[in-house]
Amino acid sequence: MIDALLSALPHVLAPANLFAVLLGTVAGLLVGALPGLTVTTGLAVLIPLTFGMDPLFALGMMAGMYNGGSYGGAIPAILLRVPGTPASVATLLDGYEMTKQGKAAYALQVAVVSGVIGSALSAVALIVFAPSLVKVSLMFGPAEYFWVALLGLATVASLLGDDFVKGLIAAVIGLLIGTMGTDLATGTERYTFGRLEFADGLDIVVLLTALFAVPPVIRMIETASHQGMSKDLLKLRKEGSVLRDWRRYLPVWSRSSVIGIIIGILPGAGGSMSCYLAYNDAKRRSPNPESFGKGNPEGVAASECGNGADNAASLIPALSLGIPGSGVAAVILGGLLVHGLRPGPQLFSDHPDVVYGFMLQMLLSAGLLMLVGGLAATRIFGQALRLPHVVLAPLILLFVAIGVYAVNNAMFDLYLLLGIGVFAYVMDQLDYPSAPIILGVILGPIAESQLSLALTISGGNPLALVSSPMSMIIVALTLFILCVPLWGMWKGRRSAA
Amino acid sequence: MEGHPLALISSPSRRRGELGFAAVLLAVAGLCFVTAGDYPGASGTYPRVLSVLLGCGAIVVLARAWRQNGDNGRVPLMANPGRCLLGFAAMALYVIGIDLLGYILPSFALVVLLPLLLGYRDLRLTVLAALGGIGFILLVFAVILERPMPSDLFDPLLEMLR
Amino acid sequence: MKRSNILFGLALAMSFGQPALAEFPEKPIEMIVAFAPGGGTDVAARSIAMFMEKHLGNGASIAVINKPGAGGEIGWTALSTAEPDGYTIGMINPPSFVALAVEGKAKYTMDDFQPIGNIVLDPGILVVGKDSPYESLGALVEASKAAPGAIVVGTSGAAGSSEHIGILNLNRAAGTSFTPAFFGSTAPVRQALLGGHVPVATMNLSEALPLVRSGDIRLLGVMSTERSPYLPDAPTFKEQGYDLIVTASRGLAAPAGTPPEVVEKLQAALKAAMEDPEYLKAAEEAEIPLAYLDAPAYRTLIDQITGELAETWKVTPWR
Repeated sequence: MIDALLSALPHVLAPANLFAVLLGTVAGLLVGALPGLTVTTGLAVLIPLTFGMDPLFALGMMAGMYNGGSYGGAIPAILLRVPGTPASVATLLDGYEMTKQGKAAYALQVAVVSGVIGSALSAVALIVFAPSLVKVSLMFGPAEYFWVALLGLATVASLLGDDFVKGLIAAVIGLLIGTMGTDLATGTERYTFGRLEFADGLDIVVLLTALFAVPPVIRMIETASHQGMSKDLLKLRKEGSVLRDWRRYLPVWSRSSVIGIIIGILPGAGGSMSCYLAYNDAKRRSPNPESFGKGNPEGVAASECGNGADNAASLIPALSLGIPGSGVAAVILGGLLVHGLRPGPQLFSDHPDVVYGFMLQMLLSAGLLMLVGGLAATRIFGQALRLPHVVLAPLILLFVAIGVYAVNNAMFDLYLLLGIGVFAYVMDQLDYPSAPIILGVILGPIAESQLSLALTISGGNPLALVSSPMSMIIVALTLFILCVPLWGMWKGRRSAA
Repeated sequence: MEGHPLALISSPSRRRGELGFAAVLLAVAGLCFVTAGDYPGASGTYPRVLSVLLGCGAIVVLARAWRQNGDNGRVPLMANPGRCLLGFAAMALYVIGIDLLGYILPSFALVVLLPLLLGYRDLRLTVLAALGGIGFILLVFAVILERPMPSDLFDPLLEMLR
Repeated sequence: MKRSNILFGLALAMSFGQPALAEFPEKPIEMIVAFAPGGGTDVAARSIAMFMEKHLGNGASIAVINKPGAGGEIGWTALSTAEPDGYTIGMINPPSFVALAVEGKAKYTMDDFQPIGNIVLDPGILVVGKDSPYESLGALVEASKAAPGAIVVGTSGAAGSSEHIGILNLNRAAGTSFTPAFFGSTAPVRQALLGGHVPVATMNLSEALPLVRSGDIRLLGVMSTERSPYLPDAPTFKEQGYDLIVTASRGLAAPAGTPPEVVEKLQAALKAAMEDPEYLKAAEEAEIPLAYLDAPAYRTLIDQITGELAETWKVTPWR
């Protein structure tokens, strides 16, 4: 392996291929930061263009786009409360609060450094463990996925906010929205109101932007402030360097990276789940969990680090088995195929130069992100915040509108945005938290369909759900996550009494 | 903004908002429960259980808001209901505008007119922001990524860009 | 769209009114893809579009428009109602494209389309894990007959997908009673098979090639008339005595009523694109089972699939 890495290195460092990674990273930042555009879209446009190119040039652009895109989503989430992807919701919880407190530059810095550390560790895991980690991902069948989804849903406990009942209502609303559309197992169309547009359920991007972006825009219009954010607040140096505070973030980074890598290698679990799990973990371990959701930079660090760690890890089953761990990995797989690189165990022996070159490029793009990401985010995107709020509000609507339209190229989604936006505003005014809705929408359908699969396979025997050691481990983890806050509350009450 | 006609609309109280919203949730829960009756087997059971949960939650909130008759009775739900309405009206007009005229013209109108209605008079900045924003979006969505735009008055122009 | 046509119909009417066509295409062509960007169909569409542009000449440009949703129904409905002037074409994916019409769910019928040509024919396959006790298709069928309903077959589709219909047809043809388990997409079903969570699975041939070659999964039968050139050792169902043919197609179609000379031009461009050495090389590298069919032959294939599905729907409705 070392030989392969060394022989791949000159190709990776060739100027043209370096440029490809840089180009990909910048493009990824852009598509990630604009709502409605995703890395998948960017890659889909890119792949046919790479037909005649050197494989490492094409793969370099893909690696850059993957890492750049996953951080790009954090920029509008932190600055404007417009989450580009479900993954940025956990970032937004503390990131936007920090922006409101005038710490936007610091929040962005935390996000980029944490994302880079997660991506880099993940790339290292990809290089070192790719063949052996595959065995772990194969231990997950429908029963195990069902429990993983429940584990994710259990983290809702950390998102509920101050009002327990309202948080639960929000989660149930999310689960109900998740039932919309065609039921995989029976083909029954649920809550589609006879509209084709609902046959696949409510689109997550439309829901995200309506829930998170519309309320602050309306509030900006309500306050009608003619001022923007002051220039001083956007200065990078003001809050000091994140790297100098490494001692504070190290525990968060290491645990979030491990979580992200593990979730990444599970096909179908996806980046957003690792963010929620990492966020939950950081909050649970923190000496003052009540500061989360109110502008604690560790929340941003956990979420972005988990998000970044998901990237390269999701390529592990993709490269070694041909099973993509995420939607983006699936598209990258398509890109590999076009260049005659067939995934599977033999890929590593047949094309070591290209495979290890690609892995190094994943690592390289993580490094480049640190340079480009920090600069671009504060210098360019940050400037938007200096606009007076009365001008910024309609500008945000411009981007939200085209983004929501671009998801399905349908006007229907824009009217939907309007409808859900009103609902979201009222909910927000009444202090119902929005994050549990998203969690429910993402994980509810996974839990339901995997449960039904597991029961179909076992012939309806519920004991099959806990028959494997892996299932039992995840059940124990879920119970642990649910019980620790309860136990803490009980203990707190006793010591108070 | 004193004396502005929009400022005269008064906001419902927060307590009323709580009651109203919880009532809506209760109604939605009922509707979901009844509709799910048509779905076969587990396809129907799962949403029915969720509807019951949602209904219970809504009842708890209703009861809580009903009892709390103190301060919440006077706290308004919205800081400035007039401008809030203006915001939603602008959004609605914007979406309808996109449907009828395409993306470019309504976007320009929104960025220039909304600040004006909110008393912001620096036209140079708003026009510049509008042109910059629209130009950037067209560049990324229409030219580089070739994403389709809503059918537009300026379609012939856009085609030349590609 | 409709409203702006009314408002600005004048300008548009001028462009519709022209007889033109002599120098087709004189404006960008839209290719509707009924799935999201990045999916297999989308990548196939973008690739073929790039080469068709080259062979249409006249500075032609083809823009891929994704209209995903409802298992393709939204995009195909949009294609069926588009202006039949050759400037809107689309990718169609029989048999799921046909199944929606056969069960009467979709608003379109096969008469609403004018096929342009077929690009890919990907046969269905039945596979088991490498440690599976079922050594042959015959053994599996016998096992299923001995224990009705006990053997679960993982499918990459949902209820009503071509894989599901394939299992129903197999049950009918061989007298078995396999229970389908719906995984929704290919990645999870492959993983479940490799991890031993399902005993048997169906998918498309191209999706299983590397794993079959590496010996991680065993192929029991290919659901096509002939063996695949990519896996010449794999027997077909027919050879083993079961008359089952399930083939996923990807092709191009225009709305019905498109002028024949325009269809002719598009068909010629498709043919030329599929013979382009650069395209062929990329397709071969990716092992895409290309199978060009011209418009009449594609029409015949679609009609045949329609007939078979109608038959299945009558006996064992999939929804």
